[in-house]
Amino acid sequence: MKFAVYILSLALVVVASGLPVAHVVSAAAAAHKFHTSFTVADYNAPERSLQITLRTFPDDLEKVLGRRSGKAVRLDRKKVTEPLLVAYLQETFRLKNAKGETVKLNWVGMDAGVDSAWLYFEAHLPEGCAGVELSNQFMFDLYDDQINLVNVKQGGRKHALTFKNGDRFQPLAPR
Amino acid sequence: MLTKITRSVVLAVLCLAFAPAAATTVLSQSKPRPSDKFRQLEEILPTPNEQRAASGAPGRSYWQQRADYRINVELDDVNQRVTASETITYHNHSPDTLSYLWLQLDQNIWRQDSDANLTQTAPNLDGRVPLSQIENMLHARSFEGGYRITAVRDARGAPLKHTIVKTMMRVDLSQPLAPGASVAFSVDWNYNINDERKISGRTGYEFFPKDGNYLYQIAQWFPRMAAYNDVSGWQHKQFLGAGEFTLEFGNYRVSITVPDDHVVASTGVLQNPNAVLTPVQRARLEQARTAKNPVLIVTPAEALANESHKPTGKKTWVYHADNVRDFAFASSRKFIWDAQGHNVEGNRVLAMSYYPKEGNPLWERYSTHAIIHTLNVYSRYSFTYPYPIAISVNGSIGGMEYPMICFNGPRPEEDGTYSALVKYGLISVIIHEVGHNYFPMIVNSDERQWTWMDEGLNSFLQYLSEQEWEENYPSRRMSPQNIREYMASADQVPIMTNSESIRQLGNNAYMKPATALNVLRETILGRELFDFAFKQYAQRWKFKRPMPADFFRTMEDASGVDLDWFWHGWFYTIDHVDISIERVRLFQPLTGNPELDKGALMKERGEQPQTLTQERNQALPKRVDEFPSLRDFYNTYDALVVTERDREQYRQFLQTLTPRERELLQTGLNFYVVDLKNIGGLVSPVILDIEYADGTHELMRIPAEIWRYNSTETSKLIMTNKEVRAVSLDPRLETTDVDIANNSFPRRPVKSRFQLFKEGQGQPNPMQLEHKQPSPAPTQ
Repeated sequence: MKFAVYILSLALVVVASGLPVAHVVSAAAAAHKFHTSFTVADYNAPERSLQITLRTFPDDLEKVLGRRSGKAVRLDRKKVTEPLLVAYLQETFRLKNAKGETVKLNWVGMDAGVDSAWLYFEAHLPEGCAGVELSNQFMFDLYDDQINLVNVKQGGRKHALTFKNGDRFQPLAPR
Repeated sequence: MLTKITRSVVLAVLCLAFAPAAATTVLSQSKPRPSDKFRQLEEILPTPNEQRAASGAPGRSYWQQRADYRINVELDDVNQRVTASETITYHNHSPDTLSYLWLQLDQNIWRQDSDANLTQTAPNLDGRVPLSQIENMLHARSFEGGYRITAVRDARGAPLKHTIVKTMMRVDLSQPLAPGASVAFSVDWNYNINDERKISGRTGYEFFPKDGNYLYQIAQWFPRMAAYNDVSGWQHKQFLGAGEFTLEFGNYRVSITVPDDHVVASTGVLQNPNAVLTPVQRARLEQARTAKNPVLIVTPAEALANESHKPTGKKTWVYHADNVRDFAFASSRKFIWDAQGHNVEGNRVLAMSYYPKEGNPLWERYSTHAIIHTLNVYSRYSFTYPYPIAISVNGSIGGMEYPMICFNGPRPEEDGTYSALVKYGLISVIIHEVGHNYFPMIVNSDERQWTWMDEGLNSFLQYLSEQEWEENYPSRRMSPQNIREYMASADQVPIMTNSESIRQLGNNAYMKPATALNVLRETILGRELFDFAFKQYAQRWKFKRPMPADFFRTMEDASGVDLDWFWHGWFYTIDHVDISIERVRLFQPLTGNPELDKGALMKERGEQPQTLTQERNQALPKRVDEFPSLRDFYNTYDALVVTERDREQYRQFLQTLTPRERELLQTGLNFYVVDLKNIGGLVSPVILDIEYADGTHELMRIPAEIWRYNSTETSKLIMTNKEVRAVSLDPRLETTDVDIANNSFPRRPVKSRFQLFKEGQGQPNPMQLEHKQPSPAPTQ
């Protein structure tokens, strides 16, 4: 019996424990945090585009980007933060078309408030959502108990997906 | 847009005849079983008894145990260890004889063989894993955590048999403890303190590599009596990490020995200020009691000097606390310390903050103010803060509550700037943690069993306090719109789920109950009724242990409103609110007056569009025009033209009517029927905004009982002599309705957040419009 071997890719940055970003906590979460992201993925048929709005907590976002880049990240400094964010999204929010090819995400922008951060991006899907699969690993590298909720809307039909740690690709719409 | 509203003409208004009984139909063998959303909760809730009354109040034989503690503890700053001994005096107020006692050994959660460690699932190793995470995992595996219990003795010093069961310990008494009797025994122990940055968990130390100092936040640090109560017996459900604590009230006298250059912050009142404070510090503390703003007891400069200090010996700080369910403290030579006396509804309270320089400039500005603000608002909604002290301490712990003291994490960046996120994060977390003094420190609910009873209620009051801090405070929780995605999601458990089994703890146990209470207050009961009932609950159960039924029952008992449907839907199911206006139908009564009725029908006929074929055929020459003799009666007869015979019939009809019936006939009322469908399942009040053709609006607030006969479909009649243009549901987004696309009739397109954002791209933002030049980044 052989075990499958996975390469553990270590980030080549050591995050100093005293880094300010590590001090930021989910506001008022007591000892418990809200480890949830909410996504609405709306298929816009005329534009043949899946328009995605992902709501997350801004402090978590600062924390995960800070951890990956090794420096303090503030969402209100957009010029520095957006490229990090786009790279992180491409890596964690993955769409595969019916042929199994990765679909590129087109960045639209971000709205970062104190209570929520809204990330907007879209994916060109000329064939619609049929056969498309999503793997939403957003924040899984930060929190083991992260849960990503995705509500997909296509032509009046709604479908709810839930991603937990360990979940991989799921069909975007039921067959 | 009446054209989209179905128009029906009815003759029903004056029809006084009874419809014949419906013909008997064969009963279907498969009867539909509509769920009864208004079914009473009595069959689910425990039967009221002498301990817990049917009203939700403590019963006439309510009892609870009591445990008093005397503890000597020494903090080892070199090895980061706690060594201590305690004498517990346990008072058996129960009607039962106890032959053994159970204690909680919370530190054992960090033993290598603890259930918490063994049942931890694999972390995610996909993507890039920071070395620090690997470092933390290795650290956790080598940490020698957990209590070393070195002695358990009875009052005469003889060893007592004790058995450690994971995070609990059973102590066998030499003689059974009778009802009404007390027993004293002692425990000695020590343990290694966790590095909170690597192994987090409500307590621990933070190390500051730059100056080589430690900051300790010490909690769950002594073997505590497990609760024994009328509902669970011994509440010794193992500590797995999520379900917090179930504790008994008692008096504490705690002597804390630390290096002599440390400053200690603690539950309770300091008993020996002369021995541990300098004359200057004592004078400042006196001044703080009546100050209008926080007064520094240890200044930043003094704290900075302490950082490079080496202790010359030890000091023992002695604290006393009455009627608390737990005890925690913090200690460091890094502490800056400020204090301000405050009168909370007649109770003099000393509000104090302790923070290292890394917390400034945020902490000196906001912490003590946030404490006092919290005491003011919470006291108004529940009961007067009863303790003499309220403390907020900054350390590595994100936010955790203990009686009179709490630990809060947010700090600015190293350059002293901070984002709005960190500022409001700090104020919110202080409000939340200080607020926990009320729930569960004083309204002593069972946290291990029901997280929502303290976190949900506390998050609710946190929101009210935040909204009184500044206008439009960016509250993270509680606004009904913020919970819609969670409510619509599939991966949920009901609020009434045991603390350790809850999925999505934050959404489930904090946000959902808090939002539910907000809806109950604003939309269902109204502020006056809700606030009265909520305060009743807080007052009835302060310094006692309520269970969920006591809350549900009190809220009904004091408000006078049957809320079983509400508790059932919000707390026992995962349904969500999604109501749709399926259609609006217009019924107009025929008056019987041929001039009016036929006129109306003729008008309606005239409004019918001419078909394309009709239009094209119109110009064709017609044979009857060429040969007029072909025309007869039927070429001119129009059923909608009023005839003399119609008028005569109307005259006769009027003679059969009473004056009242004649008056009703002439009102010209329109009858609109709004058909509603409950798609989400959760029963909700129906709030309708009626927009009339004349531009006026009418708001109808319909209680949830409109769904009591049929919880999936219902309809509402609007009688008006005006014309309705549109009807919309929940116009001010107060019911948590998850889909607002079906909330209007005729349907109005609702732009998604995505569309709005995309359309706004490239526009200058409001600040850019306001100031042509960018303003400098805030420095303070």
